[in-house]
Amino acid sequence: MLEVRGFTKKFGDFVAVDSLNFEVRQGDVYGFLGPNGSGKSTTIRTIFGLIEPTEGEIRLFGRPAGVPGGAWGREGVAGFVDAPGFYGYLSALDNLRLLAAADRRKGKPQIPRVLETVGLLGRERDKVKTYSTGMKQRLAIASALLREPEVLILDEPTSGLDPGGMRDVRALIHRLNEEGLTIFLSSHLLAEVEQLCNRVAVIGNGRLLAEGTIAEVVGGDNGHPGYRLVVNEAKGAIRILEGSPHVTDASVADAVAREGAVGEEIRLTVGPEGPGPVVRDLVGGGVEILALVPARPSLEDLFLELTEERP
Amino acid sequence: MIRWEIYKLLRQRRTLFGLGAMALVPVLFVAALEITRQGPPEGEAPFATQLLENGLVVPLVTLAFATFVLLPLVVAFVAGDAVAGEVSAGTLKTVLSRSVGRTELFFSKVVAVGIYCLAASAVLAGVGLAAGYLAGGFAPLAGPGGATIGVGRGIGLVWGGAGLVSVPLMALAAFAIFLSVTTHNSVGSGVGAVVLVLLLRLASGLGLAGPLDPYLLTNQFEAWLNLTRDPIAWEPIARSLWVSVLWGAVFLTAAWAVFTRRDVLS
Repeated sequence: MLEVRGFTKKFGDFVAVDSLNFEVRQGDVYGFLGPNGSGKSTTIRTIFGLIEPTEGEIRLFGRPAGVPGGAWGREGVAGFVDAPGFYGYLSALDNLRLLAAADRRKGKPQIPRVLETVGLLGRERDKVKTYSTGMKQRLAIASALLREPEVLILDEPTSGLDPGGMRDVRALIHRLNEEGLTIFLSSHLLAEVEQLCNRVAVIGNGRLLAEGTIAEVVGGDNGHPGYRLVVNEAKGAIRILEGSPHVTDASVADAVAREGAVGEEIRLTVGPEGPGPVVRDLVGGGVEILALVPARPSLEDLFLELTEERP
Repeated sequence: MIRWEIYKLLRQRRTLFGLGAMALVPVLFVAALEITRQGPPEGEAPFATQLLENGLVVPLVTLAFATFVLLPLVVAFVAGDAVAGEVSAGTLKTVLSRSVGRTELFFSKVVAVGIYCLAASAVLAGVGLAAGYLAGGFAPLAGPGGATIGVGRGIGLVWGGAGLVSVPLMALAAFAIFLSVTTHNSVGSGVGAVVLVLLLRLASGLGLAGPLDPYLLTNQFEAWLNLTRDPIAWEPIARSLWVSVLWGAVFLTAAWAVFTRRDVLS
Protein backbone atom coordinates (compact mmCIF):
# COMPACT_ATOMS: atom_id res chain seq x y z
CA MET A 1 0.00 0.00 0.00
CA LEU A 2 2.80 2.37 0.95
CA GLU A 3 6.21 1.81 -0.56
CA VAL A 4 9.27 3.86 0.23
CA ARG A 5 12.05 3.20 -2.24
CA GLY A 6 15.47 4.82 -1.98
CA PHE A 7 13.91 7.92 -0.47
CA THR A 8 16.50 10.60 0.24
CA LYS A 9 15.87 14.15 1.40
CA LYS A 10 18.59 16.74 1.65
CA PHE A 11 18.29 20.27 3.00
CA GLY A 12 21.33 21.93 1.50
CA ASP A 13 24.25 19.76 2.55
CA PHE A 14 22.34 18.19 5.41
CA VAL A 15 21.01 14.72 4.66
CA ALA A 16 17.78 14.38 6.65
CA VAL A 17 16.82 11.01 5.19
CA ASP A 18 19.23 8.72 3.42
CA SER A 19 18.11 5.99 1.00
CA LEU A 20 15.17 4.82 3.06
CA ASN A 21 13.36 1.64 2.04
CA PHE A 22 10.36 -0.01 3.63
CA GLU A 23 6.88 -1.18 2.78
CA VAL A 24 3.60 -0.98 4.65
CA ARG A 25 1.16 -3.75 3.80
CA GLN A 26 -2.59 -3.87 4.02
CA GLY A 27 -3.82 -4.46 7.57
CA ASP A 28 -0.54 -3.48 9.20
CA VAL A 29 -0.18 -1.31 12.21
CA TYR A 30 3.26 -0.25 11.12
CA GLY A 31 5.51 1.41 13.66
CA PHE A 32 7.95 4.01 12.42
CA LEU A 33 10.50 4.35 15.17
CA GLY A 34 13.32 6.75 15.62
CA PRO A 35 14.68 9.32 18.02
CA ASN A 36 13.85 12.98 17.60
CA GLY A 37 15.45 14.38 14.47
CA SER A 38 15.92 10.98 12.89
CA GLY A 39 13.86 11.82 9.80
CA LYS A 40 10.43 10.43 10.73
CA SER A 41 8.48 13.64 10.20
CA THR A 42 10.43 14.43 7.03
CA THR A 43 9.35 11.08 5.63
CA ILE A 44 5.72 11.65 6.60
CA ARG A 45 5.75 15.17 5.16
CA THR A 46 6.92 13.67 1.90
CA ILE A 47 4.15 11.10 1.95
CA PHE A 48 1.68 13.98 2.26
CA GLY A 49 3.35 15.97 -0.53
CA LEU A 50 4.44 18.74 1.80
CA ILE A 51 8.06 18.35 0.78
CA GLU A 52 9.67 16.91 -2.29
CA PRO A 53 12.09 13.97 -2.28
CA THR A 54 15.63 14.74 -3.34
CA GLU A 55 16.03 11.19 -4.62
CA GLY A 56 13.97 8.03 -4.68
CA GLU A 57 10.23 7.86 -4.43
CA ILE A 58 7.31 7.12 -2.20
CA ARG A 59 4.36 5.32 -3.73
CA LEU A 60 0.87 5.06 -2.36
CA PHE A 61 -1.36 2.42 -3.89
CA GLY A 62 1.18 2.22 -6.70
CA ARG A 63 1.01 5.96 -7.47
CA PRO A 64 3.77 8.44 -6.71
CA ALA A 65 3.22 10.51 -3.58
CA GLY A 66 5.19 13.51 -2.48
CA VAL A 67 4.56 15.88 -5.34
CA PRO A 68 4.20 19.42 -4.00
CA GLY A 69 2.44 21.88 -6.22
CA GLY A 70 -0.74 20.08 -7.00
CA ALA A 71 -3.42 17.71 -5.86
CA TRP A 72 -1.81 14.33 -6.28
CA GLY A 73 -4.71 12.04 -5.72
CA ARG A 74 -4.27 11.49 -2.04
CA GLU A 75 -7.40 9.37 -2.13
CA GLY A 76 -7.24 6.56 0.36
CA VAL A 77 -4.72 8.13 2.70
CA ALA A 78 -5.15 10.56 5.56
CA GLY A 79 -3.50 11.56 8.78
CA PHE A 80 -1.37 14.25 10.25
CA VAL A 81 2.24 15.21 10.78
CA ASP A 82 3.70 16.79 13.93
CA ALA A 83 1.24 18.48 16.27
CA PRO A 84 -2.03 18.74 14.36
CA GLY A 85 -2.79 22.33 13.39
CA PHE A 86 -6.33 23.66 13.54
CA TYR A 87 -7.93 27.08 13.31
CA GLY A 88 -8.30 27.87 17.00
CA TYR A 89 -10.73 30.71 16.37
CA LEU A 90 -13.13 28.34 14.58
CA SER A 91 -15.23 25.59 16.09
CA ALA A 92 -14.28 21.96 15.62
CA LEU A 93 -17.30 21.64 13.35
CA ASP A 94 -16.11 24.51 11.14
CA ASN A 95 -12.61 23.04 11.06
CA LEU A 96 -13.97 19.72 9.88
CA ARG A 97 -16.24 21.38 7.31
CA LEU A 98 -13.31 23.38 5.98
CA LEU A 99 -11.13 20.27 5.72
CA ALA A 100 -13.98 18.38 4.06
CA ALA A 101 -14.16 21.19 1.49
CA ALA A 102 -10.41 20.81 0.96
CA ASP A 103 -10.94 17.10 0.37
CA ARG A 104 -13.19 17.76 -2.64
CA ARG A 105 -14.93 14.45 -2.05
CA LYS A 106 -18.36 13.83 -3.44
CA GLY A 107 -21.24 13.39 -1.02
CA LYS A 108 -21.94 14.82 2.37
CA PRO A 109 -19.03 14.51 4.80
CA GLN A 110 -19.78 12.18 7.67
CA ILE A 111 -18.90 14.69 10.36
CA PRO A 112 -21.21 13.43 13.14
CA ARG A 113 -19.99 9.87 12.59
CA VAL A 114 -16.30 10.72 12.87
CA LEU A 115 -16.94 12.96 15.87
CA GLU A 116 -18.72 10.09 17.55
CA THR A 117 -15.88 7.72 16.67
CA VAL A 118 -13.36 9.88 18.49
CA GLY A 119 -15.70 10.83 21.32
CA LEU A 120 -16.08 14.52 20.51
CA LEU A 121 -19.77 14.54 19.61
CA GLY A 122 -21.38 17.24 21.72
CA ARG A 123 -18.25 19.40 21.80
CA GLU A 124 -18.13 20.14 18.09
CA ARG A 125 -19.41 23.70 18.43
CA ASP A 126 -16.68 24.69 20.88
CA LYS A 127 -13.79 26.70 19.51
CA VAL A 128 -10.73 24.55 19.03
CA LYS A 129 -8.63 26.94 21.09
CA THR A 130 -10.61 25.74 24.13
CA TYR A 131 -9.68 22.11 23.45
CA SER A 132 -7.12 20.18 25.47
CA THR A 133 -4.16 18.54 23.73
CA GLY A 134 -5.93 15.20 23.88
CA MET A 135 -9.07 16.61 22.30
CA LYS A 136 -7.00 18.16 19.51
CA GLN A 137 -5.35 14.79 18.87
CA ARG A 138 -8.75 13.15 18.68
CA LEU A 139 -10.00 15.93 16.40
CA ALA A 140 -6.99 15.30 14.18
CA ILE A 141 -7.91 11.64 13.96
CA ALA A 142 -11.53 12.63 13.24
CA SER A 143 -10.38 14.94 10.45
CA ALA A 144 -8.36 12.09 8.97
CA LEU A 145 -11.28 9.68 9.19
CA LEU A 146 -13.44 12.16 7.25
CA ARG A 147 -11.50 11.13 4.18
CA GLU A 148 -12.56 7.51 4.72
CA PRO A 149 -8.96 6.41 4.20
CA GLU A 150 -7.52 2.97 3.74
CA VAL A 151 -4.23 4.09 5.24
CA LEU A 152 -4.12 6.27 8.32
CA ILE A 153 -0.82 8.04 8.98
CA LEU A 154 -0.33 9.23 12.53
CA ASP A 155 2.72 11.15 13.66
CA GLU A 156 3.22 10.66 17.39
CA PRO A 157 -0.51 10.54 18.08
CA THR A 158 -0.11 10.27 21.86
CA SER A 159 2.43 13.05 22.16
CA GLY A 160 1.56 15.45 24.96
CA LEU A 161 -1.30 13.34 26.27
CA ASP A 162 -1.86 12.30 29.87
CA PRO A 163 -1.98 8.55 30.60
CA GLY A 164 -5.76 8.47 30.22
CA GLY A 165 -5.57 10.28 26.88
CA MET A 166 -2.84 7.91 25.69
CA ARG A 167 -4.94 4.90 26.61
CA ASP A 168 -7.96 6.31 24.74
CA VAL A 169 -6.00 7.09 21.58
CA ARG A 170 -4.29 3.69 21.60
CA ALA A 171 -7.63 1.96 22.06
CA LEU A 172 -8.99 3.99 19.15
CA ILE A 173 -6.04 3.04 16.93
CA HIS A 174 -6.48 -0.61 17.85
CA ARG A 175 -10.20 -0.43 17.07
CA LEU A 176 -9.67 1.31 13.73
CA ASN A 177 -7.17 -1.34 12.71
CA GLU A 178 -9.64 -4.05 13.65
CA GLU A 179 -12.18 -2.29 11.45
CA GLY A 180 -9.80 -2.68 8.52
CA LEU A 181 -7.65 0.43 8.44
CA THR A 182 -3.97 0.10 7.75
CA ILE A 183 -2.11 2.32 10.18
CA PHE A 184 1.31 3.90 9.85
CA LEU A 185 2.33 5.12 13.25
CA SER A 186 5.36 7.25 13.94
CA SER A 187 6.52 7.27 17.52
CA HIS A 188 9.48 7.24 19.82
CA LEU A 189 7.40 5.63 22.57
CA LEU A 190 8.67 2.08 22.38
CA ALA A 191 6.08 0.56 24.67
CA GLU A 192 3.38 2.08 22.51
CA VAL A 193 4.84 0.63 19.35
CA GLU A 194 5.33 -2.77 20.97
CA GLN A 195 1.76 -2.67 22.17
CA LEU A 196 0.12 -1.55 18.93
CA CYS A 197 2.28 -2.51 15.97
CA ASN A 198 2.86 -5.78 14.16
CA ARG A 199 5.71 -4.46 12.01
CA VAL A 200 8.25 -1.73 12.52
CA ALA A 201 10.98 0.24 10.83
CA VAL A 202 13.67 1.75 13.02
CA ILE A 203 15.52 4.75 11.67
CA GLY A 204 18.37 6.80 13.05
CA ASN A 205 20.12 9.75 11.46
CA GLY A 206 17.87 9.33 8.46
CA ARG A 207 18.95 5.77 7.78
CA LEU A 208 17.00 2.54 8.08
CA LEU A 209 18.47 0.51 10.94
CA ALA A 210 16.04 -2.38 11.14
CA GLU A 211 12.76 -3.44 9.57
CA GLY A 212 10.33 -6.32 9.96
CA THR A 213 7.96 -7.80 12.49
CA ILE A 214 8.75 -6.89 16.05
CA ALA A 215 9.87 -10.46 16.71
CA GLU A 216 12.19 -10.36 13.71
CA VAL A 217 13.56 -6.99 14.62
CA VAL A 218 14.35 -7.81 18.23
CA GLY A 219 15.78 -11.18 17.23
CA GLY A 220 13.59 -13.31 19.46
CA ASP A 221 12.17 -15.38 16.68
CA ASN A 222 15.28 -17.14 15.44
CA GLY A 223 14.59 -20.58 16.93
CA HIS A 224 17.24 -20.14 19.57
CA PRO A 225 15.52 -18.35 22.43
CA GLY A 226 17.58 -16.66 25.06
CA TYR A 227 17.14 -17.01 28.81
CA ARG A 228 18.25 -15.31 31.99
CA LEU A 229 19.39 -17.94 34.46
CA VAL A 230 19.99 -17.13 38.09
CA VAL A 231 22.04 -19.68 40.02
CA ASN A 232 23.69 -19.89 43.39
CA GLU A 233 27.14 -20.17 41.85
CA ALA A 234 27.90 -19.10 38.29
CA LYS A 235 31.36 -20.56 37.82
CA GLY A 236 30.26 -24.17 38.25
CA ALA A 237 27.14 -23.61 36.18
CA ILE A 238 29.14 -22.19 33.27
CA ARG A 239 31.39 -25.25 33.34
CA ILE A 240 28.36 -27.50 32.97
CA LEU A 241 26.73 -25.32 30.32
CA GLU A 242 29.88 -25.18 28.20
CA GLY A 243 29.88 -28.95 28.05
CA SER A 244 26.19 -29.25 27.27
CA PRO A 245 25.08 -30.08 23.69
CA HIS A 246 21.80 -28.28 24.37
CA VAL A 247 23.39 -24.86 24.89
CA THR A 248 24.55 -22.69 21.99
CA ASP A 249 25.89 -19.81 24.05
CA ALA A 250 26.32 -19.01 27.73
CA SER A 251 28.02 -16.23 29.61
CA VAL A 252 27.97 -14.67 33.02
CA ALA A 253 25.97 -11.47 32.90
CA ASP A 254 27.70 -8.21 33.66
CA ALA A 255 27.82 -7.78 37.41
CA VAL A 256 25.29 -5.23 38.43
CA ALA A 257 25.13 -4.24 42.05
CA ARG A 258 21.55 -4.80 43.07
CA GLU A 259 20.51 -4.35 46.63
CA GLY A 260 19.15 -7.57 48.02
CA ALA A 261 20.13 -9.48 44.88
CA VAL A 262 20.38 -13.20 45.35
CA GLY A 263 22.53 -15.47 43.18
CA GLU A 264 24.48 -14.82 40.01
CA GLU A 265 23.05 -14.26 36.57
CA ILE A 266 23.94 -16.10 33.42
CA ARG A 267 22.66 -15.36 29.94
CA LEU A 268 22.31 -18.37 27.73
CA THR A 269 20.85 -19.40 24.44
CA VAL A 270 19.52 -22.93 24.13
CA GLY A 271 18.88 -25.24 21.23
CA PRO A 272 15.53 -26.06 19.65
CA GLU A 273 14.72 -28.63 22.36
CA GLY A 274 14.29 -25.79 24.83
CA PRO A 275 15.65 -25.27 28.33
CA GLY A 276 14.45 -28.58 29.87
CA PRO A 277 17.60 -30.67 29.17
CA VAL A 278 19.77 -27.79 30.37
CA VAL A 279 17.89 -27.60 33.66
CA ARG A 280 18.35 -31.33 34.13
CA ASP A 281 22.10 -31.03 33.44
CA LEU A 282 22.48 -28.19 35.91
CA VAL A 283 20.46 -29.85 38.67
CA GLY A 284 22.33 -33.10 38.05
CA GLY A 285 25.59 -31.18 38.41
CA GLY A 286 24.53 -29.83 41.79
CA VAL A 287 23.74 -26.30 40.71
CA GLU A 288 20.88 -24.65 42.53
CA ILE A 289 18.61 -22.82 40.04
CA LEU A 290 17.01 -19.77 41.58
CA ALA A 291 15.28 -18.47 38.45
CA LEU A 292 15.00 -19.15 34.74
CA VAL A 293 13.33 -16.40 32.70
CA PRO A 294 12.95 -16.03 28.92
CA ALA A 295 15.21 -13.16 27.95
CA ARG A 296 13.63 -11.93 24.76
CA PRO A 297 15.29 -8.58 24.13
CA SER A 298 12.84 -5.72 24.27
CA LEU A 299 12.29 -3.25 21.49
CA GLU A 300 13.77 -0.69 23.82
CA ASP A 301 17.00 -2.71 24.10
CA LEU A 302 17.21 -2.93 20.36
CA PHE A 303 16.26 0.70 19.81
CA LEU A 304 18.92 1.95 22.17
CA GLU A 305 21.49 -0.41 20.73
CA LEU A 306 20.73 0.67 17.18
CA THR A 307 20.39 4.37 17.72
CA GLU A 308 23.02 5.05 20.35
CA GLU A 309 26.00 3.41 18.76
CA ARG A 310 25.79 5.60 15.69
CA PRO A 311 27.13 9.11 15.45
CA MET B 1 -12.06 27.05 -0.93
CA ILE B 2 -12.66 30.74 -1.68
CA ARG B 3 -15.74 30.73 0.54
CA TRP B 4 -13.76 29.22 3.39
CA GLU B 5 -10.87 31.64 2.96
CA ILE B 6 -13.30 34.56 3.18
CA TYR B 7 -15.03 32.96 6.17
CA LYS B 8 -11.69 32.53 7.95
CA LEU B 9 -10.76 36.13 7.24
CA LEU B 10 -14.04 37.36 8.68
CA ARG B 11 -13.53 35.31 11.84
CA GLN B 12 -10.10 36.74 12.62
CA ARG B 13 -9.60 39.63 14.99
CA ARG B 14 -6.93 41.15 12.79
CA THR B 15 -9.41 41.46 9.93
CA LEU B 16 -12.16 42.95 12.03
CA PHE B 17 -9.71 45.29 13.73
CA GLY B 18 -8.63 46.59 10.31
CA LEU B 19 -12.19 47.12 9.14
CA GLY B 20 -13.03 48.72 12.48
CA ALA B 21 -10.10 51.10 12.08
CA MET B 22 -11.37 52.02 8.63
CA ALA B 23 -14.80 52.73 10.07
CA LEU B 24 -13.31 54.77 12.88
CA VAL B 25 -11.30 57.12 10.64
CA PRO B 26 -14.25 59.14 9.26
CA VAL B 27 -16.01 59.11 12.63
CA LEU B 28 -12.97 60.51 14.41
CA PHE B 29 -12.41 62.94 11.57
CA VAL B 30 -15.95 64.29 11.84
CA ALA B 31 -15.67 64.44 15.63
CA ALA B 32 -12.45 66.43 15.32
CA LEU B 33 -14.08 68.78 12.81
CA GLU B 34 -17.01 69.35 15.12
CA ILE B 35 -14.71 70.13 18.01
CA THR B 36 -12.12 72.29 16.24
CA ARG B 37 -14.25 73.68 13.38
CA GLN B 38 -11.03 73.60 11.38
CA GLY B 39 -10.34 71.48 8.28
CA PRO B 40 -7.08 70.62 6.54
CA PRO B 41 -5.29 73.45 4.67
CA GLU B 42 -6.19 74.16 1.06
CA GLY B 43 -4.35 71.84 -1.31
CA GLU B 44 -3.72 69.05 1.18
CA ALA B 45 -6.99 67.32 0.45
CA PRO B 46 -9.62 67.49 -2.27
CA PHE B 47 -12.38 70.05 -1.68
CA ALA B 48 -10.79 70.94 1.67
CA THR B 49 -12.23 74.47 1.66
CA GLN B 50 -15.79 73.12 1.50
CA LEU B 51 -15.29 70.64 4.31
CA LEU B 52 -17.05 72.54 7.06
CA GLU B 53 -20.13 73.24 4.94
CA ASN B 54 -20.59 70.00 3.01
CA GLY B 55 -20.65 66.50 4.50
CA LEU B 56 -20.02 65.01 1.06
CA VAL B 57 -16.43 66.18 1.35
CA VAL B 58 -15.80 64.05 4.46
CA PRO B 59 -15.45 60.68 2.66
CA LEU B 60 -13.30 62.29 -0.07
CA VAL B 61 -10.90 63.82 2.44
CA THR B 62 -10.70 60.70 4.62
CA LEU B 63 -10.10 58.55 1.53
CA ALA B 64 -7.25 60.83 0.47
CA PHE B 65 -5.69 60.73 3.94
CA ALA B 66 -6.22 57.02 4.52
CA THR B 67 -4.48 56.05 1.29
CA PHE B 68 -1.30 57.66 2.54
CA VAL B 69 -0.53 55.06 5.22
CA LEU B 70 -3.58 53.70 7.06
CA LEU B 71 -5.26 51.74 4.26
CA PRO B 72 -1.93 50.25 3.09
CA LEU B 73 -1.09 49.42 6.71
CA VAL B 74 -4.33 47.58 7.36
CA VAL B 75 -4.16 45.66 4.10
CA ALA B 76 -0.46 44.86 4.51
CA PHE B 77 -0.97 43.19 7.87
CA VAL B 78 -3.91 41.09 6.71
CA ALA B 79 -2.20 40.06 3.46
CA GLY B 80 1.08 39.43 5.25
CA ASP B 81 -0.68 36.95 7.50
CA ALA B 82 -2.34 35.05 4.63
CA VAL B 83 0.27 32.30 4.38
CA ALA B 84 2.69 33.03 7.21
CA GLY B 85 -0.09 32.94 9.81
CA GLU B 86 -1.11 29.50 8.60
CA VAL B 87 2.46 28.26 8.69
CA SER B 88 3.00 29.42 12.26
CA ALA B 89 -0.34 27.94 13.38
CA GLY B 90 0.46 24.64 11.64
CA THR B 91 -2.74 24.83 9.63
CA LEU B 92 -1.09 25.09 6.22
CA LYS B 93 0.26 21.55 6.48
CA THR B 94 -3.14 20.37 7.70
CA VAL B 95 -4.93 21.78 4.66
CA LEU B 96 -2.22 20.79 2.18
CA SER B 97 -2.40 17.22 3.47
CA ARG B 98 -5.86 17.03 1.95
CA SER B 99 -6.75 16.85 -1.75
CA VAL B 100 -6.81 20.55 -2.51
CA GLY B 101 -4.01 21.68 -4.83
CA ARG B 102 -1.58 24.37 -3.86
CA THR B 103 -2.53 26.58 -6.80
CA GLU B 104 -6.21 26.47 -5.88
CA LEU B 105 -5.44 27.23 -2.26
CA PHE B 106 -3.11 30.07 -3.20
CA PHE B 107 -5.58 31.80 -5.46
CA SER B 108 -8.38 31.30 -2.94
CA LYS B 109 -6.27 33.26 -0.49
CA VAL B 110 -5.51 35.90 -3.11
CA VAL B 111 -9.20 36.35 -3.89
CA ALA B 112 -10.06 36.59 -0.18
CA VAL B 113 -7.37 39.23 0.38
CA GLY B 114 -8.54 41.09 -2.74
CA ILE B 115 -12.07 41.15 -1.37
CA TYR B 116 -10.67 42.45 1.89
CA CYS B 117 -8.99 45.32 0.02
CA LEU B 118 -12.34 46.20 -1.53
CA ALA B 119 -14.08 45.86 1.83
CA ALA B 120 -11.59 48.11 3.63
CA SER B 121 -12.03 50.84 1.00
CA ALA B 122 -15.79 50.36 0.98
CA VAL B 123 -16.06 50.62 4.77
CA LEU B 124 -14.02 53.81 4.68
CA ALA B 125 -16.22 55.26 1.94
CA GLY B 126 -19.51 54.03 3.39
CA VAL B 127 -18.87 55.17 6.94
CA GLY B 128 -17.41 58.41 5.57
CA LEU B 129 -20.60 59.08 3.64
CA ALA B 130 -22.77 58.30 6.66
CA ALA B 131 -20.65 60.37 9.04
CA GLY B 132 -20.49 63.25 6.58
CA TYR B 133 -24.23 63.20 6.00
CA LEU B 134 -24.96 63.14 9.73
CA ALA B 135 -22.46 65.94 10.37
CA GLY B 136 -23.49 68.43 7.70
CA GLY B 137 -25.74 66.88 5.11
CA PHE B 138 -24.88 66.69 1.40
CA ALA B 139 -24.66 69.58 -1.02
CA PRO B 140 -23.25 69.92 -4.56
CA LEU B 141 -19.48 70.22 -4.73
CA ALA B 142 -17.51 72.93 -6.46
CA GLY B 143 -15.12 70.98 -8.69
CA PRO B 144 -11.46 71.91 -9.39
CA GLY B 145 -12.33 73.72 -12.64
CA GLY B 146 -15.23 75.56 -11.09
CA ALA B 147 -17.84 73.16 -12.45
CA THR B 148 -20.48 71.99 -10.02
CA ILE B 149 -20.58 68.31 -9.09
CA GLY B 150 -24.08 67.26 -8.12
CA VAL B 151 -24.76 65.21 -4.99
CA GLY B 152 -25.49 62.08 -7.00
CA ARG B 153 -22.25 62.34 -8.94
CA GLY B 154 -20.44 63.27 -5.73
CA ILE B 155 -21.60 60.04 -4.08
CA GLY B 156 -20.57 58.17 -7.22
CA LEU B 157 -17.19 59.90 -6.97
CA VAL B 158 -16.74 58.56 -3.43
CA TRP B 159 -17.52 54.99 -4.43
CA GLY B 160 -15.52 55.29 -7.66
CA GLY B 161 -12.58 56.63 -5.69
CA ALA B 162 -12.80 53.80 -3.19
CA GLY B 163 -12.90 51.29 -6.04
CA LEU B 164 -9.90 52.82 -7.79
CA VAL B 165 -7.90 52.97 -4.58
CA SER B 166 -8.55 49.25 -4.12
CA VAL B 167 -6.52 48.37 -7.20
CA PRO B 168 -3.09 49.63 -6.02
CA LEU B 169 -4.07 48.31 -2.58
CA MET B 170 -4.42 44.86 -4.10
CA ALA B 171 -1.00 45.26 -5.71
CA LEU B 172 0.44 46.13 -2.32
CA ALA B 173 -1.37 43.11 -0.87
CA ALA B 174 0.31 40.98 -3.56
CA PHE B 175 3.69 42.20 -2.31
CA ALA B 176 2.72 41.38 1.28
CA ILE B 177 1.57 37.91 0.17
CA PHE B 178 4.90 37.44 -1.60
CA LEU B 179 6.72 38.31 1.62
CA SER B 180 4.36 36.06 3.56
CA VAL B 181 5.11 33.10 1.28
CA THR B 182 8.84 33.65 1.22
CA THR B 183 9.53 34.62 4.83
CA HIS B 184 6.76 32.71 6.65
CA ASN B 185 6.80 35.65 9.04
CA SER B 186 3.44 37.32 9.48
CA VAL B 187 4.49 40.53 11.21
CA GLY B 188 7.63 40.88 9.11
CA SER B 189 5.58 40.60 5.93
CA GLY B 190 3.18 43.31 7.07
CA VAL B 191 6.00 45.58 8.16
CA GLY B 192 7.87 44.89 4.92
CA ALA B 193 4.91 46.01 2.83
CA VAL B 194 4.50 49.18 4.90
CA VAL B 195 8.22 49.88 4.55
CA LEU B 196 7.85 49.56 0.78
CA VAL B 197 5.09 52.16 0.85
CA LEU B 198 7.19 54.54 2.93
CA LEU B 199 10.29 54.06 0.78
CA LEU B 200 8.39 54.65 -2.44
CA ARG B 201 6.76 57.74 -1.01
CA LEU B 202 10.16 58.96 0.13
CA ALA B 203 11.68 58.26 -3.29
CA SER B 204 8.84 60.12 -4.97
CA GLY B 205 8.91 63.01 -2.51
CA LEU B 206 12.66 63.51 -2.92
CA GLY B 207 12.48 63.13 -6.68
CA LEU B 208 14.77 60.09 -6.64
CA ALA B 209 12.67 58.00 -9.02
CA GLY B 210 13.23 60.28 -12.03
CA PRO B 211 11.28 59.09 -15.08
CA LEU B 212 10.00 56.09 -13.13
CA ASP B 213 8.06 58.29 -10.73
CA PRO B 214 4.68 57.89 -12.50
CA TYR B 215 5.10 54.12 -12.22
CA LEU B 216 5.76 53.94 -8.50
CA LEU B 217 3.04 51.94 -6.81
CA THR B 218 2.32 54.58 -4.19
CA ASN B 219 1.63 57.21 -6.84
CA GLN B 220 -1.26 55.12 -8.12
CA PHE B 221 -3.17 55.76 -4.90
CA GLU B 222 -3.87 59.34 -6.00
CA ALA B 223 -5.17 58.47 -9.48
CA TRP B 224 -8.78 58.48 -8.28
CA LEU B 225 -8.58 62.28 -7.85
CA ASN B 226 -8.76 62.51 -11.64
CA LEU B 227 -12.40 61.48 -11.32
CA THR B 228 -13.10 64.94 -9.87
CA ARG B 229 -11.96 66.72 -13.02
CA ASP B 230 -14.40 67.90 -15.62
CA PRO B 231 -14.10 66.17 -17.97
CA ILE B 232 -12.70 63.15 -16.15
CA ALA B 233 -9.00 62.57 -16.93
CA TRP B 234 -9.08 58.92 -17.92
CA GLU B 235 -5.47 58.60 -19.08
CA PRO B 236 -3.86 58.77 -15.61
CA ILE B 237 -6.62 56.52 -14.26
CA ALA B 238 -5.96 53.93 -16.95
CA ARG B 239 -2.22 54.17 -16.30
CA SER B 240 -2.82 53.69 -12.60
CA LEU B 241 -4.81 50.56 -13.33
CA TRP B 242 -2.27 48.90 -15.59
CA VAL B 243 0.68 49.94 -13.45
CA SER B 244 -1.03 48.49 -10.37
CA VAL B 245 -1.97 45.32 -12.22
CA LEU B 246 1.64 44.97 -13.36
CA TRP B 247 3.01 45.39 -9.83
CA GLY B 248 0.46 42.92 -8.51
CA ALA B 249 1.02 40.38 -11.27
CA VAL B 250 4.79 40.36 -10.77
CA PHE B 251 4.56 39.75 -7.03
CA LEU B 252 1.69 37.28 -7.29
CA THR B 253 3.49 35.26 -9.93
CA ALA B 254 6.61 35.14 -7.79
CA ALA B 255 4.57 34.25 -4.70
CA TRP B 256 2.69 31.52 -6.56
CA ALA B 257 5.94 30.06 -7.90
CA VAL B 258 7.37 29.84 -4.38
CA PHE B 259 4.14 28.65 -2.75
CA THR B 260 3.63 25.76 -5.15
CA ARG B 261 7.18 24.51 -4.89
CA ARG B 262 8.41 25.29 -1.44
CA ASP B 263 8.74 22.56 1.18
CA VAL B 264 6.29 23.01 4.04
CA LEU B 265 8.46 22.31 7.05
CA SER B 266 6.36 23.59 9.94
